Amino acid sequence: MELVTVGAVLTYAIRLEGHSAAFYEQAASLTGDRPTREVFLSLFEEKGKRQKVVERSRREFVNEMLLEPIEGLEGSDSLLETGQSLGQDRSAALRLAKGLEERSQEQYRDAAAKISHLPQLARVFRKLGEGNAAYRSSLDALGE
Amino acid sequence: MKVVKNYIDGQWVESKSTETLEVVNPATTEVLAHVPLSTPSEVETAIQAASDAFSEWRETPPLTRARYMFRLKDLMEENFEDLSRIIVEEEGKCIDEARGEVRRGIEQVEVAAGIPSLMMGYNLEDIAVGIDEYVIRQPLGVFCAIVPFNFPLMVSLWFWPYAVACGNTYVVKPSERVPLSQEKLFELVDEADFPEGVVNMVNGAKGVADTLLESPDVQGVSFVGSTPVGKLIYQKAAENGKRAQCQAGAKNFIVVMPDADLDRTIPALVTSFYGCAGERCLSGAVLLAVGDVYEPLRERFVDAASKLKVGYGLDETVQMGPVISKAHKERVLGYIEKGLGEGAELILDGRGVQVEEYPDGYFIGPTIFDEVTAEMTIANEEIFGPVASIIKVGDLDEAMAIIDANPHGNASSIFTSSGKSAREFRYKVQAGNIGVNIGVVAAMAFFPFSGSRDSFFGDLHGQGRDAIDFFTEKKVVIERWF
Repeated sequence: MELVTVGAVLTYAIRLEGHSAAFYEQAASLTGDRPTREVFLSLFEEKGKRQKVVERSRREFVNEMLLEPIEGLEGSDSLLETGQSLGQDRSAALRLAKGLEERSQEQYRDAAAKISHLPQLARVFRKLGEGNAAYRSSLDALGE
Repeated sequence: MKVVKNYIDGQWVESKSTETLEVVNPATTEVLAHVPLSTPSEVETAIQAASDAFSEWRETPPLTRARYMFRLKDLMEENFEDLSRIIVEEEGKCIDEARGEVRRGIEQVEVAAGIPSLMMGYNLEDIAVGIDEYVIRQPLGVFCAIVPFNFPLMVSLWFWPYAVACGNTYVVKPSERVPLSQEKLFELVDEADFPEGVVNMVNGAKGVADTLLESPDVQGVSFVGSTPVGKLIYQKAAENGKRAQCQAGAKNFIVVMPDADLDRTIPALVTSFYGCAGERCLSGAVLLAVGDVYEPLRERFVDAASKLKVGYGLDETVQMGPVISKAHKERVLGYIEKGLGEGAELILDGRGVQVEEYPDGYFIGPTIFDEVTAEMTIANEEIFGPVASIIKVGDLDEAMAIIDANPHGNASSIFTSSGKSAREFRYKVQAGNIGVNIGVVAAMAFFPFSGSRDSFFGDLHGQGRDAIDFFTEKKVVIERWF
């Protein structure tokens, strides 16, 4: 879907974080491997916090003086469907998680560039993207 | 169908009036509620409640008064999305615009919470040997606000948090077209547990305003609306011995210089001319294209404006909502006809815009006139809709002469990369709010929302230090001890 307003960009981010939290919660409940479960649970908590950060940013940084139209930014529906058929296969769950973090990072990087006229919001998105990169590293450390 | 209640003396009260008006969602045309045209005795009851509450409230320590503001701020944050949605439903603006409005409203409450510092007086020892002099700021009593439809939540907050934080008590008259966000706000006021009578709300139209203006117990009035009404209210307030600050109509000119960065300028222009469907007193109205910038500016502005998606503001893909009412839509369409009749060239026609799901909504698409002259009606009168007029001018002096020939003085902006041009513009142009590479010159809560000439009647503006001055009397004490 095309994200043509700041509100649409933020609402997409809120949904993305909410979906990511749900994904990790489910993944944690399905995996039998303890280290993997612990990482998934910590990411579940992180995603919940990040969702609150985006909600707060929507309240605080949408500046009615600078509601300029946004062009060329997409929000992928498929990203919000990651893990719909999640099973007990640890490797498959890890693959999905890594993909989710990688694509989320791209999403935030692109969004930050498109809302550079709202620097506080752009900073939030850059930091969220950096967070995704760090989560990806912690997932990589779990192996395949 | 719900009938909106009044909030008087800490209670929700049904009006006894048999006259009501419909509150209509301008996008869907659904009737959301009815609003009563409250009776004079109901207004008098609210004034009496405020008057009765004054003596105890003014003795309440400023820090305690500030805590009510903190509570209200927290409640507004918790109800942020609800407030935003209600604004969209009753006024028609887009959800992001509504969120921006709620944020601006909260910022007023946040700044008013600084009252222990803001309200301090000053003093000097030994003005003569052994004699000291002080200035103490004191509240005056009951104040009131008469507010417009276009920012249903925010505008009352330009005034009453400062007044109340200073120790005054208050009566708000919301716009009869958009009373629902004020209703929600007063639910939060109630939850914040302000003492009874400190803040009151009475719904209605001109009759309510008249009673407020004629009451000997009301010390001052804050008004935002059109120029003719603003002028009338200012006169009436003066006749009745009240303070008044009347923010009135606008016709805002935006100058684009040949050295402007068009990549940054165009989005700002689109926001300025078409944000809130042009229904704000800071909207751009006339685009003054200086010299060689005319051709590329015209082309790119039309291109950007034509891409805006018009529709129901709760849909986040929508970038411009409807105007407030069917009557207002017809008024704006009348101006478009007038522009055509006077010989302007309609290069983007928003009249035929269709919003499939809401065929009866009061939508007008972005509209642009070219070949406009300074004498035309569309270049002079406030349209309050999504209609832009382009005038080609030779230089900055010509642009500034056109701006100053217009009686309004609310806001004006220049887009340029030249500091010299910007300074000259800022220095000379007779408008209260000046933008340099800013399309919507909306002063923050800690600065006054200015305005001059036919755009403001009074001397102390809303917000900032002006608000503290407006809502307090400076008492001078000269003291000597034997």
